[in-house]
Amino acid sequence: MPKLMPKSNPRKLRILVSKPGLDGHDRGALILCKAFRDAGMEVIYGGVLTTPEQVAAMAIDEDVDAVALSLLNGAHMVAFPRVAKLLRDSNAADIVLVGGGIIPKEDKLVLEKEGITGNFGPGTSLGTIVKHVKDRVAKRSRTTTRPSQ
Amino acid sequence: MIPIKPILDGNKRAVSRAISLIEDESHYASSLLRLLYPHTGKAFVIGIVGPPGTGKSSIIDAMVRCYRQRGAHVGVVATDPSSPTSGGALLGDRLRMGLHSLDSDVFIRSMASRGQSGGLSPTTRNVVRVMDSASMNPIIIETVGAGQNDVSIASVADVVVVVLMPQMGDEVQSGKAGFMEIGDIFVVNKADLDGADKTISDLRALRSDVKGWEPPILKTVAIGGKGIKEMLVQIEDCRQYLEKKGYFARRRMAHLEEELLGDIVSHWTQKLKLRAKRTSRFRAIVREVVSREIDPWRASEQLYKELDMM
Ligand code: B12
Ligand SMILES: Nc1nc2c(ncn2[C@@H]2O[C@H](COP(=O)(O)OP(=O)(O)O)[C@@H](O)[C@H]2O)c(=O)[nH]1
Ligand SMILES: [Mg+2]
Repeated sequence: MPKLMPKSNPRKLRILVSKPGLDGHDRGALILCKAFRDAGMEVIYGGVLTTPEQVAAMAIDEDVDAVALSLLNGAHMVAFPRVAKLLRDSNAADIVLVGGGIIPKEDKLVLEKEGITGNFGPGTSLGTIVKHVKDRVAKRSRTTTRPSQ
Repeated sequence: MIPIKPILDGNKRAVSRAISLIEDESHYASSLLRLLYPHTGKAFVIGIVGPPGTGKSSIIDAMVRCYRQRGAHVGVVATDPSSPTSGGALLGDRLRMGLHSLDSDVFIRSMASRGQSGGLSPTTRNVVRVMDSASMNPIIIETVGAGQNDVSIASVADVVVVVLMPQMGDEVQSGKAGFMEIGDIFVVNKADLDGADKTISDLRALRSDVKGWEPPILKTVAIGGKGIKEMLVQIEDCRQYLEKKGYFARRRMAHLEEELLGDIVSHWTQKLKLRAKRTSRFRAIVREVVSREIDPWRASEQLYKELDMM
């Protein structure tokens, strides 16, 4: 009997680029979208002016490997950990969270404790960002519950 | 083994993970699909097709709002093209459907076309099955909208809606776009812009009613939802017409026939390729064709014989 699915594709990295707050600075987020796409990822852009609740819901529907959180409005200390908590509450703590925008140095350690890494600011090279995402997702797949192939 | 109960119960995380397995054509996919298949066939599947930027995603957003008012559990599959160079993709359809993300009875999934032509992803049909098994109904599919030949939708959806907009010029006039032929309903969106009536009269001249159903032509303004209720009425009318005439079941039968044939053909194609390459004569024959000792037609005849296919 012919097998239904003859081949198994390597999983494509799926990432949600989001702005979980009242922040209209979308230039950086759009640039990230293109950089991730050019690095071979499937990128879902969540748009501006979304709430942490919407971002978490989108991440789950889309079964992304990672969520890129971008805020330049100073609300990152509330919004980023909120997304992390919502994902934990939905049994989706394995989704990788990376952050960026205007983030003071002293905030970075706190965010990292919440599992939100990177937290890159203006001038960071896109190569650095792409590598950071790929590295974190690669580490994740070893511990995730997703059946390996 | 993946438990299917959470999927059938519509648990979003379970559904979304199942979809990923299928999208990646994982080894788990076929056994999962076999378990889910008995639970499928319930959903009404609506295809939305048309050139980029005509407002397909915005229309779906408005449709979902209407269906939710009636208490339906709605599934959406939105397709965007994969980049042929990087293999990556920018999936932006969700942007227009943002407000539904928090609704537990709406499930929206973005898919990349992953190299498949025809406007869908290779696994769209099976992704729809997962949603169907989770009791989503209706399920709305948005095609890529990139080319003239977004026609795969006709072998997945029960009813196809073609979305156009004013000032499209040639695209409508020439009638060359493949998707013009598969429309059960035509929508001229952005009717707030000039030229909607011109587009409608162009369409009138073109539409064909081969099935005894004359595709209606409607005006909508997706932003604000004008005309969307009327559109849903037409979709329902079309469905009832197809059901009354027995075309509905016939379409589904044709879809399955095509799917099965496709599976068999691709299975045998792979097998044959391997066998042909393994025959000792294969390389030698290719060389003889290169050096003009024999022609390609003689060569394939000989290979047929050798593969015992004549
Ligand atoms: C351009 C700009 C605007 C434009 C935005 C246009 C647009 N559509 O994006 C306009 C003029 C509209 C604007 C308005 C405002 N702005 Co303004 N704006 C800027 C400016 C000058 C540059 C931002 C930018 O586009 N940079 C280019 C992009 C490519 O860089 P980026 O976004 O920083 O992204 C990079 C990195 O940060 C990182 N990154 C970003 N996000 C993420 C996410 C992840 C996951 C990762 C890994 C990396 C990452 O990667 C990117 C590539 O390196 C900054 C100052 C600055 N130097 O940053 C102020 C700035 C952000 N704005 C500021 C302010 C206050 C405002 C306003 C409130 C009013 C005002 N004073 O101008 C309004 C609010 C608008 C709104 N609705 O939210 C402040 C914010 C202060 C704060 N956080 O405390 C800043 C810092 C200026 C300042 N020093 O005061 N702004
Ligand atoms: N003026 C007008 N603009 C619309 C209407 N519907 C959608 N748009 C806009 O058209 C653009 C493309 O819409 P989108 O839904 O993404 O189109 P798609 O590419 O076909 O999915 C967006 O900027 C929408 O805001 C409409 O009825 N009238
Ligand atoms: Mg779209």
